[in-house]
Amino acid sequence: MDSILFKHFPPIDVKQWKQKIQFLLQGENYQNLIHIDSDGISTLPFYTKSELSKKIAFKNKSTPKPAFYCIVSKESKANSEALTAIKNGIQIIYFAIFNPNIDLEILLKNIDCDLFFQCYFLDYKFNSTPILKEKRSVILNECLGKISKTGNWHHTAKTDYSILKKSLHISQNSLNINLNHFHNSGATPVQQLSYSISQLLAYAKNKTINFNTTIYYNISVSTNFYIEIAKLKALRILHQLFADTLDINPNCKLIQHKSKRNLSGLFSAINIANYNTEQHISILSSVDFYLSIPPNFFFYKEDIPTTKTLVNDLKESNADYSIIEENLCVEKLTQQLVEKSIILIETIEKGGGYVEQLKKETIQHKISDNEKAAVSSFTKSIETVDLNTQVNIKKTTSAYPFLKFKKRKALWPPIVEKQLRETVERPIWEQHFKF
Amino acid sequence: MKIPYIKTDFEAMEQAAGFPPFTRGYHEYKFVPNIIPNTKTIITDFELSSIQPDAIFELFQDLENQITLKSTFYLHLNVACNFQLIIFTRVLRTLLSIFSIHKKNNSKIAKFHFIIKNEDTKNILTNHQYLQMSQVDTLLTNSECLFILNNTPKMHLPVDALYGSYELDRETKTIFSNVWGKISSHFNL
Repeated sequence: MDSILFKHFPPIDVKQWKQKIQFLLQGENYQNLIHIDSDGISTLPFYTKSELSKKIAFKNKSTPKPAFYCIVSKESKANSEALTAIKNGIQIIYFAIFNPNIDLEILLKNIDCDLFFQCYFLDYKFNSTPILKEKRSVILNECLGKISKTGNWHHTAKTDYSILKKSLHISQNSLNINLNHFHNSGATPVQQLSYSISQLLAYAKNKTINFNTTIYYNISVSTNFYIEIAKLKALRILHQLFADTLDINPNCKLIQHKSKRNLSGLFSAINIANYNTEQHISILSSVDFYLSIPPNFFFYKEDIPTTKTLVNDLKESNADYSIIEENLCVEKLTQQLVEKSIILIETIEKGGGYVEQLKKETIQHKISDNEKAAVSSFTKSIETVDLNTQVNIKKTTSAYPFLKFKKRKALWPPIVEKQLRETVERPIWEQHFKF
Repeated sequence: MKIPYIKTDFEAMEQAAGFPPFTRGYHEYKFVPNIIPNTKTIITDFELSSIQPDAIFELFQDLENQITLKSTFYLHLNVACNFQLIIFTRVLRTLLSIFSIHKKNNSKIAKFHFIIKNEDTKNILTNHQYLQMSQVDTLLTNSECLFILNNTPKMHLPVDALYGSYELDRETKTIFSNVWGKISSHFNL
């Protein structure tokens, strides 16, 4: 059969191929087909072997597992939601907890499966609770995410590192790095990777982590297929590279969260379509866990799905990782992301490290500059359809759709999360809805 | 920080198709599918009901009588948008090109314009990317999907984004082999 193909389609070299494209473009500039993103990374119209004389020695083949995202406001309600999810076939529950004094007996009643606890506090007593040790739990702890997001420590720098260090010696506790916070704030992929790894370096410098500590990265992706697949591959490579030098666990785990950056405040259909693509990308990237869409991401009462629907949506996702394996485009983009990230990480280190760069507000400014440019580019790129006429004003609002930021007294300005569509959608929301 | 690069052993990479995408007998690829509302009437010369060998064989039987009459054909594909579509369109374009070369006496290769209807609002963004990777020319869709696509940041995918995928090449070779025997013997290719 090969001979038949070659007879009709003799192989051509890159030069001939480019000439053929030039001819087909009928006068349009070939350079216009090359997309250069805000990190200066170019996506070529086609990739050939000549683009890659080398590749990064790296293999990862995790099997992504779905986990149900459960916000704990009332213990009994969260318990009931978790049990419904389990009944519908979910084997991992991801609890988001805001209060260390919750009643874990009520929350975990009759629940026997793998559990995550994303804690929005840092509390040694909670971290060492016997019931969490008895269950198959992973408690996700961090403090550098807190200072990035709010400008304040949980307690003080010294206390936070100390609690973290003590907690990480208890088996069910793990370190959590929120790459998704940078993504949601509008940082470029290189910035997301570099700031996350810089946090890892800061924890290591403070001797918070030991070799047995498992590091979980919370990640979110945009719908930009190849660059996001490459980003997640680059994250694992960078983690492994730096872990080797720091003598920490080289294997990290990735947990995929719904992107807030991609959220539409007006159209649930856009959010669902985005969510499915994000999940598809994450599964193709072999993340370790992917979470259901949080119910508070639905801004109209009519659109809020049942737990069963959320679980079904979660389980429906599938993708074939093998199509990405050995893919030249992904490999090339990964190499560019890794190389550029290392340069930025080294610059941050020379500038005193992650916390110092936050204090100097360098990181905040860099993300903010990119965020504004992305919003401007998005606003220009969308079709000039009249969004106003598409809004269903008969719907009942259940939550304010745009990320709110309360100004608090802080040690330095926080990195603020912002939806890409907010500039376009907020005036329409304010015109039609009250909350 | 030293990145652990290794020399790429391309010789070890199996390739089913010894040709780049631009020579798949297809000469007017527009880089992204045109998105057309389903309320609009579009030309359809042929319709392919599935990716099964029998359906492809039927298509070629229909095509045989008309291949010399026109230079452009509009082909409606009633198939799902997924990874398999990328492989399938690759195989189909190859077969159509070979067929066209033979039946038109090498004078001019016929152009085949692929059309797919998809109205899955939940998966429209992912499907659109698969259509782009499959080099499908036209997406026929409903107003809701059209709205989602028009209000989402544009993607910049390479034309042959999956080049180098071992799995893709292997699958392409398998599917091509399954169909080629029957078509080549019947049509004397």
